[in-house]
Amino acid sequence: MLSYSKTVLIIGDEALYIFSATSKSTQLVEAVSWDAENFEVNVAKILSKDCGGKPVVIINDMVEQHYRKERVPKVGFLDRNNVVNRKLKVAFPNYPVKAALALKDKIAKTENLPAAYVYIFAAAPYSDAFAKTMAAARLSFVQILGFSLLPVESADMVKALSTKLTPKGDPRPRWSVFMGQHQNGALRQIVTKNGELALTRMTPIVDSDNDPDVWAEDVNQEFQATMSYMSRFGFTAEDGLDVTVIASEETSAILDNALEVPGVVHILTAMDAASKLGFSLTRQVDQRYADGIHAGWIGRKSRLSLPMQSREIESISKPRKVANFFSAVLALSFLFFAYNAYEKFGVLSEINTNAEDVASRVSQLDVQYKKEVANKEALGYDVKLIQSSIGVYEKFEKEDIKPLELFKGVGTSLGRDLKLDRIAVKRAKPDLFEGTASTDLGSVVDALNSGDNPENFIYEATLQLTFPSTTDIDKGNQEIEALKLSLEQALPNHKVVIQKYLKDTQYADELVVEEQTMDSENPAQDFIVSILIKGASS
Amino acid sequence: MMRNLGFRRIMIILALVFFNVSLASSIYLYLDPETENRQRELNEAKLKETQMREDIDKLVVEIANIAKQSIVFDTLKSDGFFTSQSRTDAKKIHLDALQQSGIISADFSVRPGAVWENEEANKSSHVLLISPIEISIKALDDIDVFKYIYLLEQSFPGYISTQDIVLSRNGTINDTTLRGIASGANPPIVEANIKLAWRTMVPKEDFAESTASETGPQ
Repeated sequence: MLSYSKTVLIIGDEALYIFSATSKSTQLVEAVSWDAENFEVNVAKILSKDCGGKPVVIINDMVEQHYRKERVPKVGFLDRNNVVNRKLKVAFPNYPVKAALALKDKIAKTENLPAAYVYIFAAAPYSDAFAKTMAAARLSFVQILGFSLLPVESADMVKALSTKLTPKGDPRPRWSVFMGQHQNGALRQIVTKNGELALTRMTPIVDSDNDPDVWAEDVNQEFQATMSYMSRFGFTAEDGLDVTVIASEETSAILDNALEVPGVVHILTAMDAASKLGFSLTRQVDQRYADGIHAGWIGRKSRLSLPMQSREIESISKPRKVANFFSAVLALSFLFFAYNAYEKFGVLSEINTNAEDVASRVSQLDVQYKKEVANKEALGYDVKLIQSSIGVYEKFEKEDIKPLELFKGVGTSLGRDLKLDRIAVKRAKPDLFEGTASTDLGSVVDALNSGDNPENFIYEATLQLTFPSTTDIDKGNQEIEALKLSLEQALPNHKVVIQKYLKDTQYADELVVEEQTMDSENPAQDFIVSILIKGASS
Repeated sequence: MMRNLGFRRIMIILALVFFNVSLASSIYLYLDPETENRQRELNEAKLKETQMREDIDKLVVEIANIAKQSIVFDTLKSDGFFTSQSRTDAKKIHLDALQQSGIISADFSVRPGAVWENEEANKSSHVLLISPIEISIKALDDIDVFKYIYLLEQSFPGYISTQDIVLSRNGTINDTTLRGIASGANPPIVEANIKLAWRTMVPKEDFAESTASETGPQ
């Protein structure tokens, strides 16, 4: 149940009763007679100022209300509303305010009739009181939550009271009657069967309980009349009946004696009844009036049981509902934007703080940088020239052949017994700095990257030694092997390959040709040995 | 509309519309672009900060290295690494080396040099000047050849790099040879053909016109 406050307008035959209802209390704000001057303006002021502009529920409590119990044939869910509306129009063609309430009862299919739902069709006339109330509501600019009939909306209240008043463990009576005199003097009786509205009556009785006997007698007479109606509707004493009557404390004992009820009677003051229903009645002096109880109950409802349809109500409430919905959407949108703005402002603020920190650090770094530059300049060197010249020099060194180191290593390895005839040192790959400027630099780089020199040796040295023809070949070859080992030790980062031993059938190229040429001239030719040394950069 | 909704309700709606529009405008027309701009500026500032730190670190390292590098640089400078090449000086150095090494005879030629662009040298607006040198030597002993090469390496301004050496023993020590030595005829026993590259690093502006074109030593 919603807890927000409402204003409940009860349209009576004599006056309009304005109640302010919250979830906890209800009070009569004003009763304005239909004959009052400037009725609409005054009521509008009360609604907007005295009642704080709270949303309004309008309840018809006039004598002229029309109810008909109708059966509606079972049709599909989608068609049911159309059928009900059509039947409603047929039932009350001249009443602009009408509605239908589905009851729990259902009529089973018989031989002659199909299965049907049971509805209560209700209608109220377009009275002067209704027109004035709507005009006042229009002038007040308050939101109209709905329009309904008091007995229909209070039927569930009767059930709730009955439940509260029935002791635990006792069987629940099928029939309940609620009787309460309203401020206009009329006695409103609401009869429910199985918790649903079965009968309602509004009859005038004596408008004072100064003579409790007379008042009690009037009430009893009206109750007996209601009992006769109930009997016609199938009431029997076995069904169970409880009767709740609102009366002042002073008259309750007399009323209790006067009432002839085939069931249980509960006589409560208005305050007690409201208390049983969970709210209080404030500023109510006369405890026999029940209007406040109805207003309080209806005001605490989240939605009406039977909201009545009317063009007059729609024309006022619909634009206001749309405007309220639009306002709510705008309010939500405002909250969204406000939160979004708050978040983004936070992000921007954080970025600004970070930017200030970074700017501060950059400023400090700038000072430090200038200081370091000054230190560097104070050294008095052209740093670029130093670095580039050393870079060039290191490149030269990397690509350079160290011939004297090679010769020293070879000389040490040869020892005293071996003689070197020839040593040819050449670059294994083109020197990047070699040649003239017309050399295509691209081709040099290609050559370097061509994969012809995967071991990355920068030069090759070919050693040629001569052994006399009388040399023992095996011994000579052993000496060559020993020389190879010695060269490898003397020249680290070098690779030594024996190209030709003293006798080597696989040897080819230039040396073979030379040997053959020499063989033809001198059959006792010396042995020529060839060793290749591949050198890397130092 | 006014009659049904009321001034207050309409004003509330208008106020809500106004606040929504104001907030939306401030978000989408100011906050979002401003945040984007400031974020970009912050990123740039952070990048600048990182670069400055790297520059400072580099400078600190450079300053520490300059002390070491300056020794090498001074040596290069005193070795004439930054001088222009002179054919006359080259011949003088050759003759001195020839005399000191005891080489019997030598043909010495310096081919016209070339100016080379080099990425490393470019950093200090310098170019490389490279002159090929070819020497043909006859000597009594290979030791003399080594000594000659050593003297050239030590005496030439700039950098001398070996391109190609062929050293061969064409004669043998026999009675004839020994007699020749004794008589002071000094018969050549060892021959060497040497190809060297003479390299120096010179200011680019001095060779602006001849960059990447053939030019001879001065």
